[in-house]
Amino acid sequence: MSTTDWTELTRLWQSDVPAAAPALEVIARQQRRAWAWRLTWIAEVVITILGVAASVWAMTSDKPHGPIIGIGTLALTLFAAGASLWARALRRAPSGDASVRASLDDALHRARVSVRWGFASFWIMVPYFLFMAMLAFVTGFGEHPPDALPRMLVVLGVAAIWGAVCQAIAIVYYQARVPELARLEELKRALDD
Amino acid sequence: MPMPMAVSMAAHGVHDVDGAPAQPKRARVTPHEELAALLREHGALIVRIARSHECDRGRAEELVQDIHVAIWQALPKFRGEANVRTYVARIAQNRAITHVTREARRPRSAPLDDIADVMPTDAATPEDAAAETQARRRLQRAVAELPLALRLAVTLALEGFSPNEVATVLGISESAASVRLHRAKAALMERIGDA
Repeated sequence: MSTTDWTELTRLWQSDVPAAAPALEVIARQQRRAWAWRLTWIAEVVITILGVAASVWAMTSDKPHGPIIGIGTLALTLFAAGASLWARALRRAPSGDASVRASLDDALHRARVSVRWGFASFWIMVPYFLFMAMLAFVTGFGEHPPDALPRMLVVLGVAAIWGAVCQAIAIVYYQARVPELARLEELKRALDD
Repeated sequence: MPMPMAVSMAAHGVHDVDGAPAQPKRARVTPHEELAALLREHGALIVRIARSHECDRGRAEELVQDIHVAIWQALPKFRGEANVRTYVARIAQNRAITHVTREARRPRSAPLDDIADVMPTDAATPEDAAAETQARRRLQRAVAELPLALRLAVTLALEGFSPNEVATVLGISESAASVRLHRAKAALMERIGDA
């Protein structure tokens, strides 16, 4: 390849001078995404606090099966909090280096956190369903006022449907993130080659 | 460097690309004005890089917008950067990689030919202008078909970056950048020859 060839290609390439307007809409969307991530984190903290409070209340109340329900709630809450912490434990500050290689490392890191988060979200729902089963058992065999049983079954049914929806979302999220992580790892290998 | 950018950088105590001290503070520049000045200066580079990674016109525009957002978010860091053009190229390439990774699972809908606009040129006759446009399309198609690692290097070289600057943008050693550039240019010439 001669220098003239390359000079001509460079001229040709740079002769394309398109213009594009700044993206205020996308800036707003990105800010919303950042807020959504913060809200998720805040929601997890609030749910943990409420879960612990509810379990303490259940254990200390004189309701039938209160201690069992309290211990189950506490175990579920702590498991969920632990799984969330495990998923977020990988999070780290960006490297500060703006090179493509450093950015790819950061993107790989974020993708690994996302995969962990999807994985943790899936498995959080397993003890959740066990807890639901335990509640159903306690409800079915416990002593309640006659009109309370249908209401409790409706609550349990709604909770079970909500759990199923959450687990389905976790599966879809995980399945979307895993190929993204694989592609980033492939790009990293290509860049290191 | 055009005046708005020079004023913007001088306002933040930045040195010019060639290392000369920037002009003394003259006017307070808002972040919006700063972004607008940056995009006036480097907007074409951003669009060319975006189009080299995304052949679909609509998605290329989305990518350009994503790059603008990333630049917006990185504005405070710009104030400490000596070479703004290199910094813009880094951000553009970084966003392009993220885009390529995320968009790989979405189906392609637009032919590669659509990426090029029919641009006004300095050609003497309409025939020359048509030939120039054709040649540019062939070049853009050849760049877009390169593997990503080579494409990253070749777009920077076509933008006039030195091997040292390519190494800085990609975060690799200068010798590795030179090898990468050699391979990328050879692959590009081969594809253009085949076209």
